[in-house]
Amino acid sequence: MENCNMKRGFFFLRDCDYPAHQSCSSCGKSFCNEHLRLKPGISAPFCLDCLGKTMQQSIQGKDKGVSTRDNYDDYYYDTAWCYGYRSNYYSSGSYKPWYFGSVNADDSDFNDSDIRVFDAASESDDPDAEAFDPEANVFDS
Amino acid sequence: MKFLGAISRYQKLDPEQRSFIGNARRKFCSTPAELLEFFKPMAVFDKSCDEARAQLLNFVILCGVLSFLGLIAIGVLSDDMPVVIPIVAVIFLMIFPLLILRWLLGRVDIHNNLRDFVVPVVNLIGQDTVAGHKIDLELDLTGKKLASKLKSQKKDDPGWFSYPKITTSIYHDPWFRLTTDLVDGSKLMLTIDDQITVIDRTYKSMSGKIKSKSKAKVKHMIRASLALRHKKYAVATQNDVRQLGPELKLKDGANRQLFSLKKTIKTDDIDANVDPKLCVELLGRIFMTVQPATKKGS
Amino acid sequence: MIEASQQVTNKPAENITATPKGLYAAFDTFPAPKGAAVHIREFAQTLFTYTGSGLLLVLGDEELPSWQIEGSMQIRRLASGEPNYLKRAMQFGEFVYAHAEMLRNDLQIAHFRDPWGGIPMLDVKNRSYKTVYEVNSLPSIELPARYGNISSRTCAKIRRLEQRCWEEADRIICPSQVIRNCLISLGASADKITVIPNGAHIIDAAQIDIPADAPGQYLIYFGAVQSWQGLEVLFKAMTFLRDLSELKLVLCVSGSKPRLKYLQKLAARMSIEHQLIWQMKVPQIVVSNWLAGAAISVAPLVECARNLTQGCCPIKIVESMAMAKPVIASDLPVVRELIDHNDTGWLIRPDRPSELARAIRILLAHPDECRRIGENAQKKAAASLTWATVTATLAGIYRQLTAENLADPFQP
Repeated sequence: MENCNMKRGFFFLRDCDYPAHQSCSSCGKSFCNEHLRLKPGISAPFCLDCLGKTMQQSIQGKDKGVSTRDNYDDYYYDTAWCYGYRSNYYSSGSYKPWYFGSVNADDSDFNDSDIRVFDAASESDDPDAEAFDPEANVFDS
Repeated sequence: MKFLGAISRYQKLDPEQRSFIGNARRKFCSTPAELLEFFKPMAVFDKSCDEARAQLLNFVILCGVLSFLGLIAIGVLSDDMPVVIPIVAVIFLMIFPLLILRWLLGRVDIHNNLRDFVVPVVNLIGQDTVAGHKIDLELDLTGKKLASKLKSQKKDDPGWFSYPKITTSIYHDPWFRLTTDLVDGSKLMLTIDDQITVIDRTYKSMSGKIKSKSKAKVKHMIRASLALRHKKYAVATQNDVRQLGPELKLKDGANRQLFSLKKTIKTDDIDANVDPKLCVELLGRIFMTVQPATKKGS
Repeated sequence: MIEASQQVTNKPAENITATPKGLYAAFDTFPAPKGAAVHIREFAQTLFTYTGSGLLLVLGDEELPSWQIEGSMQIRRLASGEPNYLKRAMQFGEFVYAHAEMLRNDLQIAHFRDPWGGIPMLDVKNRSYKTVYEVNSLPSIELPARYGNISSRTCAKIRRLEQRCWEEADRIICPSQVIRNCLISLGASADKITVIPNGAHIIDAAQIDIPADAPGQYLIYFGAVQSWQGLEVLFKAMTFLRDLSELKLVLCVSGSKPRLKYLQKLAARMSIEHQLIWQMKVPQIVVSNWLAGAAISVAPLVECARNLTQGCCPIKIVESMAMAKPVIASDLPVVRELIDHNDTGWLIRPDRPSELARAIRILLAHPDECRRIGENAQKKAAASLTWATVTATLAGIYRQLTAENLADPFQP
């Protein structure tokens, strides 16, 4: 049986060890019951990442009316809020989570800190180094 | 009628929760899940209570305006509209129960720091604690200007009938202490101490009247400390972590290295809540700076 | 190379609608004016000829079509505008996975050149195809030269992907013995690895039109310009040859703009710009024309980890040999696999500009020797380094794999 696809944690991400039960209606990945909630209004199962992001969007759009946040009152003081908050926090660029802890994450997955090294702007300033050029062949034998 | 919802939510609270709202001071030693289970109904109640009080205030203002307009109408129309007088009287009398209701809700209101700071921080830190591991939490939301929290007071009184008279009172409110172990073996300690400076000024205005003004300044002093294990993190020198700034305190121990970062936020609003992001950012800055320990043999 | 291209495009489109039986994935732009593209074409063509039909998955750009049919070969290109190398690689991985998963019951053989295309092929569950990992280089060794900020943790992750490729692929092929030894030292099974060197088409230089503006006597360097190619050494050697006023150095090069700009500035600083003729990113036909008229071809590879530990098979040396051009190259194990000193080429100690200059003088002063070495080189190339020979070895591996597949149809 497939394991839950959720990464738990905030400063450190770890794999969830529980078996997946159902798919998220938004992203389609499978999750365990702990990481799925019914989305208010449509009563479809959403994973905490997708639900959290929706909650953050509704909080940011609170000027338009408080009612949007009211829909998520049950989840606002719940773990679901953390998942949306961490998504915002990571994307703000001030933090990249570590992949270590008492539960080992699959360290062959590339995280944001791996990826950012390969930005075109991150290429070495050394004139010896190669800048991004689709025609350049680094692996020319 | 939001106050109905607020009352209903208050009635659903168990005696322990009602008691906490009454004292607003307690030490906890529970798992994050237990803490959230305890705080969540209070947070939901506090939110609806604040909304209900705001709505009641609007009703009071509306009733006041309508009463005033009613009185004008009575004066202008005199005996022509006898129905207006009882209506105006009812509207005017409604102001008192609304105010009493608002006052009663105010008595069971708890500082917004509970729902906007404590619950999110416990929630976030709980994500990185080992399942079932307990958090030590010390909360004091009783109020920032209690006599017991008065640290010093300075009176500048030039004498009888001489003005201005200035009294500066400084209160110290250590209202938040959280200690726990994280999943990577680090020990975390978060503390927030508020320093409130209240300046009461009595002065003579240009027209000769005696007036009093009170002004408060609040300093939230947030300190995040992490004791990182040598087994997990490379020992850092001051030079390695200089980007954390002069606020960093570094202390070396036999098995751990203690990183302590401080941030001070100033505000004029004594009721302002602290943004959980401030704590998260302090911890994030430490974790982004340290390096993992080199594995033996590599 | 040109002939090869025409062979492919002129083949009758007999299998346009056939389901691909072979899959070849390369995280590289194709076609492109460089040796890797020739290599991809030759190997992919061999695979598709063997399987009868095939799908080539490569990178594209705005000008190249995303879907193209060339005879029995379908080409699908991922035109990603993503500037981040790793994100682009992951996009390519998803692109390959989607195709491999769709064709998992139809494919006989899937061939990949890098972990970015390899991991998704190996991730497909209940697949019916066998896999071949072609190792020309290891990104975990070469990427740090390009991205200075790569942490050892990121490199270790890339290495784990490579490791999975050599552990799980059914066969591994590489172009040099040095790469084979490198893979074995990293834990790959020696039994699975076959060395198949780069190839070239034997060409009679006399039949080729030399560019009209070519100088009377010139050396040639052609290929990419990474730091391990040793162009700085060659430039320094040119400063020792200023007295040979007629002698020019033709540089048919491709590479990143900053690197090329740096090399031009370096040439100006060394006051050798009047000795150089730059031909940047020119098509292969132009490179062939310049090579045909050259007196000597130069491959001054640097003595560095990439050339010594990882290994390579410089296609510039093989192509020069196939056109009977004497090659002066650095005396490194990867070069010694191709060239015998003073027989099929001329070896100098690496990173020694004065030795390189002296070797150039010696060969220029003895045109007969020069011709003899060139002819010997061409004989050697004709015997063992033609694309026909090389691809026959590759086809043999495909044959073994399909035989194994038939013998054990339940093998994933």
